[in-house]
Amino acid sequence: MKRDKYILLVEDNPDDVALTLRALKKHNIGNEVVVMEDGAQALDFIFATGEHAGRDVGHLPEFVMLDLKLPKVSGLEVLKRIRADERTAMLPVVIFTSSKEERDLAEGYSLGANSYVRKPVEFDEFAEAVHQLGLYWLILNEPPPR
Amino acid sequence: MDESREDLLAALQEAERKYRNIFEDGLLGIALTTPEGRLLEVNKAFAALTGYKSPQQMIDEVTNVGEEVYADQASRERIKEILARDGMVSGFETRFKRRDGGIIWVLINSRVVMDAGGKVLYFDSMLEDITARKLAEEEMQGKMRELNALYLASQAFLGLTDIELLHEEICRLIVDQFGLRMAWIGILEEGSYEVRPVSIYGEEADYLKNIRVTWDDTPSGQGPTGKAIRCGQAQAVDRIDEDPEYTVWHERAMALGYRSSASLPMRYEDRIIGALSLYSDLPGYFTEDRLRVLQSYANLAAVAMRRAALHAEVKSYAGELERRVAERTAELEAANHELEAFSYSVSHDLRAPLRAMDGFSKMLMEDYHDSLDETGRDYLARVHGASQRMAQLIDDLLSLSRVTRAEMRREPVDLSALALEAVEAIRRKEPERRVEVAIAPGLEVWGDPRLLGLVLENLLSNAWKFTSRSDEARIELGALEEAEGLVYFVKDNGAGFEMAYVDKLFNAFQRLHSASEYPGTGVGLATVQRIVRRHGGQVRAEGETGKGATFYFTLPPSLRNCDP
Repeated sequence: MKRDKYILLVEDNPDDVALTLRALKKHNIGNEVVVMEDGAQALDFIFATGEHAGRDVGHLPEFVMLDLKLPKVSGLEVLKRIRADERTAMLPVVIFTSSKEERDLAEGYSLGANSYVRKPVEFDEFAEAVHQLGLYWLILNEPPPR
Repeated sequence: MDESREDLLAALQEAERKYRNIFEDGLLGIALTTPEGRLLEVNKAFAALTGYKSPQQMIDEVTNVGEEVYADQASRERIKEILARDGMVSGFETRFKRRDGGIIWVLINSRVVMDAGGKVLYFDSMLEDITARKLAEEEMQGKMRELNALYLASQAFLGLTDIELLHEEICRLIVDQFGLRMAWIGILEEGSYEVRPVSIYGEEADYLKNIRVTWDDTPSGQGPTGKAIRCGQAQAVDRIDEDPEYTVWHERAMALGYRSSASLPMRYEDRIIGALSLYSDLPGYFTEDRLRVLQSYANLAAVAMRRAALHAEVKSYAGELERRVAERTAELEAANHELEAFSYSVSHDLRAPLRAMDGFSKMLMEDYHDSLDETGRDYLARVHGASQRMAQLIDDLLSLSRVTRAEMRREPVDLSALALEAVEAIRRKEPERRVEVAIAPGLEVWGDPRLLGLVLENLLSNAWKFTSRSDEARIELGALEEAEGLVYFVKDNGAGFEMAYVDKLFNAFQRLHSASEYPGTGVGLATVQRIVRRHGGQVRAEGETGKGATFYFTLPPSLRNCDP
């Protein structure tokens, strides 16, 4: 069964969501983007619990774009839970955040993030970053076996 | 034949006369005694020595010399032992009782006289009165003891910094060493004439209880303690029972067995800090000689007390300082934490709206380009520009604050290598510019590589920026030998600045050029100054409008050669 490749975007700021979607569209990345607005919802979605019970857990996104500062459950906590469960342990996670703090960088990697990208303030750069991420993780990168 | 018998007789008589002379009139006491202690013969000297009017009186009155003449009978037994063993005894020192009860010291030489059969007939003894010598010896020993007390005192006091223990030791030592009855220390109270007892040792049974001692010229200041302090001189009372000035304490003193006393003023440098008062059960104990020694002791004690007081002061200051430092540190740590929290939220929260401003204005321009006129596009461009500058400002501010909070590393740093890296990064952003850059090789310093890297980034990118309008731009990094040590510099031949404004240069946000001339937030140099200061160094700048600028900074040697 060919399943549609989609991207999971975990981001609480609606402006950033709009900008990201726009950037993807601009660079012709047509995959569906599922948006979760907080950490708790993100976990519910990934593990098919709560509001998203009944979803097929096996149908994971190609990669996750994860912001760090999220309401309810933080980005790093979400990352931790993803890595802790063997169904999702290999799921590629790209931390996509405004934070320039050394400790976020360090903790992100130590918890098993695949990549850490700082959101540029300038829109052109931002769009380019999103473009590069999309290209890389959807096309160039070999996804983990399911 | 008759002549020789006559000669013999004459010789014998002469010998006997000589003997009689020695016996009768000699200075040494001679006695012939039986083992049982009966006196057979005694010469005038012996009788005189032992206080008898005549030898005859002595022979009549003394039946057993061991009991009645020897102060200690065991001595005579001892002599008899030695005589039995050796036949003679020499240099035996012992005490005798005189007829009037007085005690004298004698030196005895004695020999046994036996008959042909070996039976002991009598002891032939010669003695010498050595009382004077013995007394002198005792006095010497006394003095030795006193000097020893001073020596012990200086040793003991050296080690004591606890003032209460010191007070106790001062009293105890003098009482034990001199066999006194009691000793106490009184300290002068500030602002009054009261003398406050701080320690007492010996037989005291509340001697000082409810007694007020002062050193002014009032009844409570008439005792030896008050007087010693008031007059600054040692005071001695030879016979407490007869002394009129002892009225107030008389009864108690007598009850406790005090018969003489002395008070020594305790002097430190020129100040009298109190008095040491001593009590003996012997009347007249405190002689001039003794007082001299005791005064030395009291002075030693005063020095030790002053030392202990100073020690306590220092300790309390140190304690106070420590407390204050701990307080300050806590305050600083709290402030630091607040700052960290602030910086963290700034780095997140301020950026997102900026991104939105930038992004949506861009999107507006792209999507609604045709609907906008020249003015509209201009407005949008300004919004965009403003959000860019704000982003830069936030970055610079965060950088500045991070410099203050970051923990400094101290390690060897290759300044030249750092500079080359910085220049490379700057060149990459504007590869089309032609700038000659000269970096002196091998500049080794000691400090935090990250922070020093920031310094160079700032100074070099400033130089790069301000030479942007120069044709033959040249930037140089090097070091100069100055009187105080090595000074590093970044020099450019760009726009320069007016020396009149040099003081403002390093203030945050202060700019000497308008944004239209050269972009910038004015935070870079403030960051440089902060970092260099944290390394213990200084920055300064020289410039000339149109000619260029040089920025100097020092990294003091005290941070070099430190073992990690």
